[in-house]
Amino acid sequence: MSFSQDLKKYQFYYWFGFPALCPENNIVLKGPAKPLTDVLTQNQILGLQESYDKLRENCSAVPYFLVKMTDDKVSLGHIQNWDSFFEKNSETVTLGFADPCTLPNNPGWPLRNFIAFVGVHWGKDLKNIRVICYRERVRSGVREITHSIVVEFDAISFQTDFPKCVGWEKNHRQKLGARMVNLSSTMDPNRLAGSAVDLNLKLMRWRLLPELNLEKIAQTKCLLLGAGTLGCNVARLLMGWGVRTITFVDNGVISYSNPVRQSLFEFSDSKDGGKGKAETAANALQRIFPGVNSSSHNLSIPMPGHSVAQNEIDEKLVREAVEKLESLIGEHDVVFLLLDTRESRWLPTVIAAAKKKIVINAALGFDTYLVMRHGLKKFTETGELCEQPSSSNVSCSSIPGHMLGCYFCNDVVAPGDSTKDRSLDQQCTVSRPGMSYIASSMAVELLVSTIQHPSGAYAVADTSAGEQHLTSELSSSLGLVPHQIRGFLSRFHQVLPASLAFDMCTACSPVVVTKYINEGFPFLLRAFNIPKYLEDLTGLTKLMEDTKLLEVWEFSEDEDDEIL
Amino acid sequence: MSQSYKCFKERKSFAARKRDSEGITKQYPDKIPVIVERYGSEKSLPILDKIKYLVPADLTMSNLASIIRKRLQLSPTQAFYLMVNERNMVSNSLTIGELYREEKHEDGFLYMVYASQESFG
Repeated sequence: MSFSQDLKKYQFYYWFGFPALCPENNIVLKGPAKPLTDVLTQNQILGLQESYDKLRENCSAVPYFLVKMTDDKVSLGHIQNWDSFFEKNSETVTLGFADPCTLPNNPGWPLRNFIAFVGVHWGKDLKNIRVICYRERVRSGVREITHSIVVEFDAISFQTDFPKCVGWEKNHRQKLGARMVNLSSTMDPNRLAGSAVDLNLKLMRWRLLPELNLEKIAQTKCLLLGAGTLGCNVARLLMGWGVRTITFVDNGVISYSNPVRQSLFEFSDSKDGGKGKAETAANALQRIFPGVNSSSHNLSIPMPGHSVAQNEIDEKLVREAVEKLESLIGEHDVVFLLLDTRESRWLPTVIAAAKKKIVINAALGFDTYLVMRHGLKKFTETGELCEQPSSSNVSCSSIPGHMLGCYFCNDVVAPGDSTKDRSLDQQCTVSRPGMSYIASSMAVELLVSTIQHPSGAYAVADTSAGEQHLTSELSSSLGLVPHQIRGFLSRFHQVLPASLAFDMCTACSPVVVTKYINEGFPFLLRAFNIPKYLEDLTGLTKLMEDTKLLEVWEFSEDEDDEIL
Repeated sequence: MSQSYKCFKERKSFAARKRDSEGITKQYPDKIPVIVERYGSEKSLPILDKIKYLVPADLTMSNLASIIRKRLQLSPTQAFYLMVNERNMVSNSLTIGELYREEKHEDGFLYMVYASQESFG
């Protein structure tokens, strides 16, 4: 047997060979093979069996032997005793071999080499050879040899130098060549890990959630904007759910304080100035589970309020960053906003709204967190963004997915540079360490619940506004699909608000999204550079001016009649 | 915030609050009494000096948000949000009148808290 292997791929090549030496002239049987019972008497058969057992007494196996028959007696001998066993110059001899073949008319393969052996040593004296193809079996508890056969043929002489040889097995194409067996599915640790991870998830489907669509989750391509505390944890949880495509975007490096909170990094990553966050995170995922398709992009996301210098080089860099982000969002199904400022979430919110991608946004305060899915916009057949319906048509507690708000819908100011004039604790992620894990878990579970819902991201938002979330019927197999999850760790309290998209939102309102679709980069550049541009565009500037004229009266608590 | 701070509901009995709101709405039937307080665990936003507001029913949430921002003297980059009854967010285009119908308290007031929008990652 020939054997070779490709160790890394667990592919084994093998080729069985049962070499048989060929005589110069073919061996032709003298007449058909005869059953043993036709040639030997009952007593002779019994004698043969006894003699064979005797011959085997002192050796493990006797594949070939010599046979001598008198009237009712059979004696056997070992090959090495040929010259004393047979009379000198015998022209006819009887030989025997243990025959593995069961065909009634043909002796088995090993006889070929035996004949060659006999031919080489004694061929020139012999004329005629008779062979007992000795076969043994046990039937109904009785040992018998009666299915043995006897063949007869002319002796042949054999050339001694390099006779022709046959015996290589043919492969599955009936050609002379090696066969291949691929054992990677049972031996490759990467493949084993892949199927073990899948099996673990399939156990959920066994009895607990038969309708769970794991394939849909596995095929969901996730873009993680931000590879900090949230990014690291979200990626780990996505792998837990069997998501196979995870792409990180970050432009930061790992600092000494990061590894204790950012679960994909280690101390060594923060040495020598720190490795890039996105790349290190992607590599860590590969180490944890080689079946994941993780990649990274070192990209600085352009932001409103962080103005772009009016020169060709800077403008080109920003344009390239925007184009890169656009193509990344286009290639993925879900965008996770896990960035560390408000303004950095603006551009991906706008692009994802225009490209109709699911957005899961997670953000931390000191002891509060927000996790939400952005409303998934609906477009008309001609590609126009559907106008938001007026709020009066929709009850506060059941908002369809395409009418839900985004991260920017709750306030009346455009995002700007939040790092200017802020102290260090207002610029960095200063938050209770457990919150990142809680918010990351909520973000990933919100995504999975959303994609398991029959309506997907268009699912009506479940809310705790009227405590309905405790009693309402669950609309999907995994349960509620809220719009927002707001947590307050000081009370270990969580609410599920849902709110409509705001028609003057600086990120997802029809005027902003349409302008982005129609004008592209020049529009974005104005938003980055001109502080009040988005507020003017959406009407927020006018709203704030009008507010001055409104009659709102403030009362201090105990002076009810004082009008300010 | 200091633990000694008590919110409006804690400082005044139900009966007193009900009397309050009824008195106001009788005097100004087209206006809605709203209580706006800082959320209990909020740390970075200042406390409002006045918490009781009487607002026209057709005022939108965005108008109110803008007024509160001004009262708090928030910088344009400091994002915040208003939460009704400490558990629901409402659309900025909803009017206070619409909101009042759904969310008013039995004492006749509409309660809101404000907190800073989370933004860290």
